[in-house]
Amino acid sequence: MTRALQTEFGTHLLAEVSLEAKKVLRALNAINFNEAKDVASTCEALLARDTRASMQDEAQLNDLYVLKVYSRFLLFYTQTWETVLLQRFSESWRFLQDSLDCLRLVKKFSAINIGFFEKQLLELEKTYPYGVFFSVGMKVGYYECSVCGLDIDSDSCAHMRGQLYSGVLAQAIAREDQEVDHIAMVPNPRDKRCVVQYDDDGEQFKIVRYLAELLRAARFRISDFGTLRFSKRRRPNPGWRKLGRNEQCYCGSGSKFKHCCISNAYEEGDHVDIVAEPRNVEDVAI
Amino acid sequence: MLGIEPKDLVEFVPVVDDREYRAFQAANSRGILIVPEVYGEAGRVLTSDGGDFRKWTKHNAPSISIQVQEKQPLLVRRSASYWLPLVFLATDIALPIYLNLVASYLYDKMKGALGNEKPRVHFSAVFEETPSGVVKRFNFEGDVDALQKLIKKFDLNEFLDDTRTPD
Repeated sequence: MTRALQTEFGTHLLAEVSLEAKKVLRALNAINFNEAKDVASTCEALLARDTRASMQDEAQLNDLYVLKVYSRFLLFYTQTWETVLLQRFSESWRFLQDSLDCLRLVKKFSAINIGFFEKQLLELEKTYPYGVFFSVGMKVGYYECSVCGLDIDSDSCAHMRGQLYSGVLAQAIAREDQEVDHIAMVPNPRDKRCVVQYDDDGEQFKIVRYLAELLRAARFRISDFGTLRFSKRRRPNPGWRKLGRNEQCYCGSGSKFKHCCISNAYEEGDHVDIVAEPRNVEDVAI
Repeated sequence: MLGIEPKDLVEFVPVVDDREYRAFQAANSRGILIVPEVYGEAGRVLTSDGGDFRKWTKHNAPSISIQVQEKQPLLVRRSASYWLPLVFLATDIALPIYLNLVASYLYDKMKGALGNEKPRVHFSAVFEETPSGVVKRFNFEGDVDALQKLIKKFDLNEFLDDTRTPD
């Protein structure tokens, strides 16, 4: 059986963090955001102070890093739902992206079961109106390694971008001659936070707003959300008028109604069902 | 459709001015040479993921020689795509071998991807077609599935006889 983390030390700590994750989920289901944030913050602080990891044991330090990211995720996850329910949608989008970034790191460096959160948050992401993102193109001299400070692309630096070294993530920091070269509009940016700003009460947020209203009205609980079902649905066309077949069409085409808009009484539009899947928090694998 | 959705690209283009590639060959070069590309009015640049790709290849395929021709500023694009460099392939690295190397790099980079997230990759490789001796540039844009599909379609012998793009 594959272990979620590399070491016994990590596995033991994960059991504790998983219990805290369930506490967070129960508090969110009760719409008690302060309690959820307290649990997540305490969990993160405890891990930050944990000195049980041997400073010489790279695997232990890497496990500790993963758990810290997981506990940070719990805080972002809480803030995502809090801002959704407060209908601060632009802000909630940023917390959602923070949450997803944490999940990517947890998934990359461990086999911790994040399936529930991953599926739920990717569905939540679909309720937002963002389809185009701004992406800045830059020219830089070189990338500095966040671990050793050398040029990360050089052979003198022993680290690879995006890998963990004794609990430290090797990141590439742009250095020298940084200049903006262009701004592009892309459907798949590396960072989805750079978006067109809409007002929180705008029509664009109607799906996520509806979700917030359902949760506020306790129609289902936060942990029950996990599926959106997109479909096409025919509905009456509000602009359609019934005329005699041989009358001139109301649309201004100059044609007879029977040759023009007679069949447009209904129009097809996008439809989305928010599907609640009641589940017991104790049974959720996290 | 907004008109900015990415489109896949697979093309082979004869290189009109092949002097730089011929000079690379004349130096009895082996393996892969990362070459800066002319970009706008700013001169030559290297792609932002080229350095990482070189280092990854050295760690994961140490038998393949991979060098950078010259240090140049990096052009960093903040899309979710991987922008791999223009490379010259010496005769000991057939194009399908290079494609497999790129695919392995992408699979490694995809660790941690959520749901159906699949990064796209952009790259070009200049090589000498045999037996015609014509220098061609191969350009690719697509995700890892498109790349894998292309690798499967490549019949090495057919490719060496004829550089038709696989259907």
